Amino acid sequence: MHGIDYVLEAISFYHISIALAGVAAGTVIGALPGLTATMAIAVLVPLTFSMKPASALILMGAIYTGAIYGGAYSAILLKTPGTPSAIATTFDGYPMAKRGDGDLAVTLACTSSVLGGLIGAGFLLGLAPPLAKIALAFGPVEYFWLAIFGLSLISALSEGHMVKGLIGGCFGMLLTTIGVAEVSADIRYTFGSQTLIGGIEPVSALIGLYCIPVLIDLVATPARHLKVSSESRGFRLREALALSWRHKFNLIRSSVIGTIVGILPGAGGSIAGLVAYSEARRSSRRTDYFGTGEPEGVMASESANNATVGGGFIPTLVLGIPGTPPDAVILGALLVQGIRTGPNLFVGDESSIVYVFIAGLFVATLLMLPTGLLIGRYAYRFIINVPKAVLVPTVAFMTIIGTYAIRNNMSDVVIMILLGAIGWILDRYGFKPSPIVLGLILSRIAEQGFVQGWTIGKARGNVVAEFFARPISLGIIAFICVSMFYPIIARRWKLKEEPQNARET
Amino acid sequence: MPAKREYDAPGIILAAIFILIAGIFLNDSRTLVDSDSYVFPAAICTLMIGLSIGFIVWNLLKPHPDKEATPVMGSTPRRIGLVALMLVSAFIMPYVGFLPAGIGVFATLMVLAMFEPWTLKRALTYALVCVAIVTGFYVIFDIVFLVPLPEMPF
Amino acid sequence: MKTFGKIVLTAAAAVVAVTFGLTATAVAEFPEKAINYVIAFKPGGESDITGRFQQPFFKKKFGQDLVMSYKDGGGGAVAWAQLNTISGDGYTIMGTNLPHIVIQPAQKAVGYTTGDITNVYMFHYTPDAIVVKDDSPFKTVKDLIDYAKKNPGKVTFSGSGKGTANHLAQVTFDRLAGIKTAYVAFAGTAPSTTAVLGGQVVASWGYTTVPPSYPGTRMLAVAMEKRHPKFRDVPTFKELGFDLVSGAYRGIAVPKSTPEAIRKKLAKMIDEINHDPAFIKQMEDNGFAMLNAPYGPELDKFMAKIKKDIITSAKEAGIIK
Repeated sequence: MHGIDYVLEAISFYHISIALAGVAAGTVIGALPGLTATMAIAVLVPLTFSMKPASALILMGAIYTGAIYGGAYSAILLKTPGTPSAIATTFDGYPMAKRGDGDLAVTLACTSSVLGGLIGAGFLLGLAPPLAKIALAFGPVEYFWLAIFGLSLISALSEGHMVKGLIGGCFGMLLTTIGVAEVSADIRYTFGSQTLIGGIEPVSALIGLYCIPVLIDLVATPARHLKVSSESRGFRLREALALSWRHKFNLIRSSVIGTIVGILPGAGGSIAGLVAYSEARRSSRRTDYFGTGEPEGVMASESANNATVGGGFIPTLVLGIPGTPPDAVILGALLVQGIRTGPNLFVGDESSIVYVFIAGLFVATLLMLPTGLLIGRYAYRFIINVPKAVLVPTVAFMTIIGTYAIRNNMSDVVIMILLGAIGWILDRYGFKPSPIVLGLILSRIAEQGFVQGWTIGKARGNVVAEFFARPISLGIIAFICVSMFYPIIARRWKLKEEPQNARET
Repeated sequence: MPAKREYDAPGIILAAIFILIAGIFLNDSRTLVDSDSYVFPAAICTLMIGLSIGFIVWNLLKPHPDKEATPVMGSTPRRIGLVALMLVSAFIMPYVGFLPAGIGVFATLMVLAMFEPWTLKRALTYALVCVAIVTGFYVIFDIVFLVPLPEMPF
Repeated sequence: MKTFGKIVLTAAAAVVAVTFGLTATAVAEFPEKAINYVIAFKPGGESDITGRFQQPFFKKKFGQDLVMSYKDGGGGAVAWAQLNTISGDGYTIMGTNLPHIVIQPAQKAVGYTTGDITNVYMFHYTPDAIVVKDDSPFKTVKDLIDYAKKNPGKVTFSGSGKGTANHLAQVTFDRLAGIKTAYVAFAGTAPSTTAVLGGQVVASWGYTTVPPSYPGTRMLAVAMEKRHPKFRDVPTFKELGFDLVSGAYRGIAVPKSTPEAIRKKLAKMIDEINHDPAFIKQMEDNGFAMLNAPYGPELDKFMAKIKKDIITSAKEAGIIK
């Protein structure tokens, strides 16, 4: 089997149908906070036993890529990322929706996701074996700095209250330390509570901190949830494409960042989105508009997180090391089918499986354009047209059942609601939810890297050198400094636009 | 905009609460034996206390009223009602099952979020929508995604 | 109050009747519907994968689905603490792991004790092993010991978690070999192996499942009584003069309220899968080692011994007092 044969097999009626079904189902799953691609794929695994390996992979890959995109809907329309990968999408997506540009944001999310997905799949097709080495080059210390890079965004997201943002970030990190200690497996900070042994699940905490405050304010007044423009504007696809063309470098850069972060087994989609967002913000001429509804922010986050799908498959298929949590389940399904991963998978007798799958992943990503636009349009219409008395209970139930589904645990739901109420109070007094969420999501990676780096450094006899003298670490540290200080310097040198009008289009 | 308030009083109070929380965590760290368990959280606690003290001192020396604080708009009882109802649903679900608890709480939330007068027709439509949405959630999560939702006792 | 007492009595009688009715007629036909298999971890881990291996065999042999669900939290403790609150009709079973269910309750109050867990079968284990990169300069365990003796404290071992089989093996081996090494805990076998492959650590305390899943790794020795059938050329620690037989054991448990007859029936069913040559081949090809400890005296004997071993080495490791 060669080149064209793989493509022909991938576009067979059967494969197109399962790719389409997978993408559509994935999009809906991703849009519901709490329902994750990991869970959806885990449910499907028994079904794939009776399928051919390549077909099973296409189905699982389609669900995965759809779910990562679907997370954008709730991020944009409800300020609640449907998957952690979409955290950075909320920063500008929700302000856009608030001012009446939700339709444009949803369409942009779709086009950017498709592009990001294609670029990620392209790297998987062309450069998988050499790129897999990146997964091994990152040690504990590098992950620590990568988490700090993500946390450095706090300075940009604190909305004028830098110190409050940093305190909020610390608070988020402290919350994640409750329960079983990340590295040593000690039970800590439970204060005798049985419930707290399971810890505070970051995704449910994120749902609480973002969604409950929105609900609390939604129920209090009869005002509309989102501003609606009077005229019908369709998909606004032309506008979205024009924006994409204008910011093509942002899209390509974000997709490359997404692919690389996807390759790193210890990182994941949330970091990809955050790093790409941070870089887009830094290099944009409109740095100061980020966080107020800047389309570039949505494009960066969404192209990066979908690029992690292709990126994540690189270490999964080449090294047997799952790049992301859904990859771990997919790998398990492959094991049951008797498929051995490894570099040989790309050249040996079984290589047709991989190439048909990659071709299928391209097909699924392309199918995301029509399905995504269509589902996005209905999601948007539903959110803006549904009466408040239906919207409030529906979203409230979505948070409850979604949180429960993460670990099948009702205590998580109670913690989610209480954290949401606390978050609403904190938000009123300048402690914004985003820094707390960043702390929650990145704390585990930071702690693991910190403690492991510390132990290894001690054994090698030099802790300082371990943290500051490794080339990749130094590179990340340099990026952290540049992202934090470049906007300030640039403004002083008048390289950036002064904030005047809040809208670009 | 309350012009008289010079200090960011709520900010100072919250910072003090954060110092207290970090203090409690730091104190509890002493019960841990393995240094791997407490290095990181203790570092975060120290940072948090430092930042909070810095914030308070800076605010007392050079008062910075919180410009962003907007007056609370709308109905506070509805806000509290929403949080209370959601908590109630989480507490009763394991005992009465997802569907009965869900439909009950959903209907009450609808009443809570309603800003227009009720008519008979509206009440009937909403009742139908309520049952449909809760059942829909049940089907998606319990039947399709095999999430073991709390069952009805009998 | 009299009526209340009457109601209680009637209810109790009804429960007894139902239970007996169940044992008399339903056991023969058990299972009549899908069985829910709760994994106490995230999907994609080894506990999940071995459950997945059982899934198709279960369906083929008994005509019912084995449906996996995941209750992650507290390193498994959240799920195990809730095991006995589930109704004991046999239609919910839960995966259990050793040494976890022995060490966790011995360390702190985690909401269950080892005795609360009613295992019906221990079906396999993953033996500990020292894993290095293919191109590592260390060819034998002796190479590694010599190097460690020259550089005390400088040899770093990655491993999956603390208080785990990997960690206990590291501590025990250090003592047996008279060396001092540094143990770096990672959040699972995948990141721990990644650290060896990336050269972040010198070697890894992993399992025999590592080489089949991660190309580019090899083992220096395995902690088994006899050599692993899939790796005939890898010596056991026993052959090399170290009394180290250890690993992570996996079993299946039921809620305490599950009737005796159902427990036995489940044990028989798992036993049947465990003796299917295709299942054995699949498990061994992936590096697992088979274990047959069905409900009854066999399991009791196995548990008593393993519990004693784990407690002893955990005390030596200073993990429990």
